[in-house]
Amino acid sequence: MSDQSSGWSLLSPLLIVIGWSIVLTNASRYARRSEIRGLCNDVDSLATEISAETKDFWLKKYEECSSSEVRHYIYHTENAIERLDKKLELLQARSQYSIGKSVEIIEKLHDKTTMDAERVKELQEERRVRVALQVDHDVAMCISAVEELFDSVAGEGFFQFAWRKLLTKCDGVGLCKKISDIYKMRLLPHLQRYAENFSRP
Amino acid sequence: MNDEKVINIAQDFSDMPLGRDDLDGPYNGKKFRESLLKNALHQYQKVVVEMDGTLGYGSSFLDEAFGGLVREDDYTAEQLRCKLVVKHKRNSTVDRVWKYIDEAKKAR
Repeated sequence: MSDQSSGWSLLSPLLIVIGWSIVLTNASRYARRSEIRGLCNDVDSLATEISAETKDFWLKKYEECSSSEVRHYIYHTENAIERLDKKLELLQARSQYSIGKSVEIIEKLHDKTTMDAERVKELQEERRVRVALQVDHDVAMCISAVEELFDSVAGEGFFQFAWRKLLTKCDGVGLCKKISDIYKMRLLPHLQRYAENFSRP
Repeated sequence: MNDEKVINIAQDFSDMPLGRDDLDGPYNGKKFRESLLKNALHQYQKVVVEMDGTLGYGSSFLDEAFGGLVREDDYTAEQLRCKLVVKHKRNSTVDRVWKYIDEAKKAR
């Protein structure tokens, strides 16, 4: 009887701990989701800015641009792409999902936005239009890759999130190694001894 | 042949490298290649190019400075992979350098 009552008295604090851990895990799931949404929005606006400036430079302003304005465009765009690269890196680290094409997209953006920008006035219209369109296309690819990533994060259920968090905290590989060590060092000798005793006549 | 030469673009050349040749500006890719990089590759077994510290790199500068080694100076991409080490805080910049070298190899 007393054993039963002590069991019941243990159960209620245990339920409180479990309840709180569910609430906290869920809160951290929502916080992570809104942090990732924020990063996605940053990527979206940066990428759109790069596309708009590239279009402006290659199709509109190129004729009136002085050499210092061209220089400004090149460094400004390079730095904007670097910021975009950093944001994508952060997004992947925070979400623990990878954006497969991010390296390729960043490389293409660097390449196309500034290649031969110094001689923009000498280039044929077809080449200038092509640059603007290609950058627009790469930016669209970047934004859709980021939205796909957010879709995966948003679709993550509570248990999936909790499991991922547990693995990250415990270091999944380390945990498995620890369990296998315990099995080998502590449990296996006992089992062997038990098997030997059992097989004796 | 000496062992190793370190070239820091921001300190040894300019913190505002830009363009292909003198038409584009005084600190262009061709000038960097001819005045620093080519000599270093000729005299040293290993050349380390440190690229941090500049305001950025336009694609034309990188293409002319590094791709030009294959197009104009008869280096092969394989030789450059053995001799040249490119360092920058962002991997994308290093990748671009090797991309221009590889593309120049294809174009040759």
